[in-house]
Amino acid sequence: MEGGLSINNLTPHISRSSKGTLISVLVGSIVIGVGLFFWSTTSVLLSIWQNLGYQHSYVVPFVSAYLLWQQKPVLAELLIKPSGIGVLALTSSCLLWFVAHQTLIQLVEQLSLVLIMASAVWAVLGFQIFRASSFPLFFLMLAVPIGAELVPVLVDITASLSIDTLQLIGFSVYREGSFLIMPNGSFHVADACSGFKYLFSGLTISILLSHITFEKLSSKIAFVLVSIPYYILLNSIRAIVVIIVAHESNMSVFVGEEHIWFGWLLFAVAVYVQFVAAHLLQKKQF
Amino acid sequence: MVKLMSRALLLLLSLSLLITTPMAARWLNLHPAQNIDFHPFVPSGCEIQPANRLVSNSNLSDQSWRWGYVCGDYGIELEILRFNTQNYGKEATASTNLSYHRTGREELKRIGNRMLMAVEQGGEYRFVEEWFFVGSQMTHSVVETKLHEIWHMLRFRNAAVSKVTLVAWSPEYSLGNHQVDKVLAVARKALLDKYAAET
Repeated sequence: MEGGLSINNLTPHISRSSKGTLISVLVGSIVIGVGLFFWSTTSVLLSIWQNLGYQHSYVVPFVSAYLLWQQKPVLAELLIKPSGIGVLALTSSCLLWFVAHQTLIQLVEQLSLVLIMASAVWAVLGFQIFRASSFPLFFLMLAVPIGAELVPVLVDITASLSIDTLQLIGFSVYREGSFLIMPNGSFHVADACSGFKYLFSGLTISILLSHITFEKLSSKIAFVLVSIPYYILLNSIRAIVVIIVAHESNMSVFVGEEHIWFGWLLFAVAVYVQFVAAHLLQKKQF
Repeated sequence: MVKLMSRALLLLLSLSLLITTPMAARWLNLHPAQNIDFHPFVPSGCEIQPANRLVSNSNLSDQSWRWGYVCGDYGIELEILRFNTQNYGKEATASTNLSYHRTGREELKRIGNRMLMAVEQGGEYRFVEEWFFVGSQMTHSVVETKLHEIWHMLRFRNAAVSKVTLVAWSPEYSLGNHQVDKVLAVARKALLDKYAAET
């Protein structure tokens, strides 16, 4: 291991475990430091998470930190080698952020913040450490609010699947836009019912699960791709159950807060099923 | 020694990039609030009214535009909060506020069940949304909710949007996504015809 700035050189008596810890902390510090330097973007991200239905994004940095912590044994073997190419990558990322910031294209601005974090690790600690910590670093991309354009599409899918199913099982139902009208009352497939949170929270969990479960890239991709229709369908099932229960109870059950709690309960069950499926697939070396 | 110095230089370069980039952005700031111009669409034959004549209980911040127009007894007002990296998200729940005057629930039912919205960026209409409502659902709160939805979507498409135009309501035409200008003209006419028919 020549040519690098080894922590061993700086602190000869440090144990291997401590080296891994130290490098993990350095990577984490760089990420947090970038977040603070670019506070104008970070603060916007935090407020979007809170105000626009991306609460699941709060979990992402913690998961990322945990994944980085798990890489300690690998990181302990690596050398710190500041990289010129990393500085070039950092320059490009900063430039991208700057242009996006000045043109108020916030999605690009937020994505480039994650690129700056990753490329700063590359520039300061070197390519080897960047590569070893790349999944935790790029996992942060999932914290960037994205996909709200899909809400109308998801509303439409939910309304279509709901009305088709309800008519198939013999309910009298009429659809106008995102409204489903039944004899006992009408139901609105609102944005909150679009399954947007299901889909994006589910995708985040699926990506994490595929990373820690499967070895082959094709298995990882297949698992994540299958989770997309899985969560969309799950939301339609939720909507159908809510409509049937509300209708059959003469609009006395599942018309208030309880239908939201039911939704999250169903989500928890679905995530559990996904964990079990991943476990079984892993056994079969999928 | 040379190797050590080159690495120190790389660290210094990285640190200076991280410090100077946000500083330069703040210094350059191409989008101060007063530089964004907002021109409301006003149907011909109608006149712009000061917002305070149309709404009495509006909760507006300094970074918002308020405009409205009246066509005889109709009054329509659209309030748009300027959003930027500073207020984005924080004031999301107050981003739009559409008020109707005289046209209460029953009036809206008669007008139709369709509402259009177009957004202009750099002289071009970049985005159009069309909503359908069941007649009895066409209440102020439903329309306002829809405006919130569209505004949130716009934020993710491109935060540089500086103009939103409320076009009109009419059940008599359908929207083709690539014929926005034509639709705008039709919408204008529909609104005026409606006004003419009622007066």
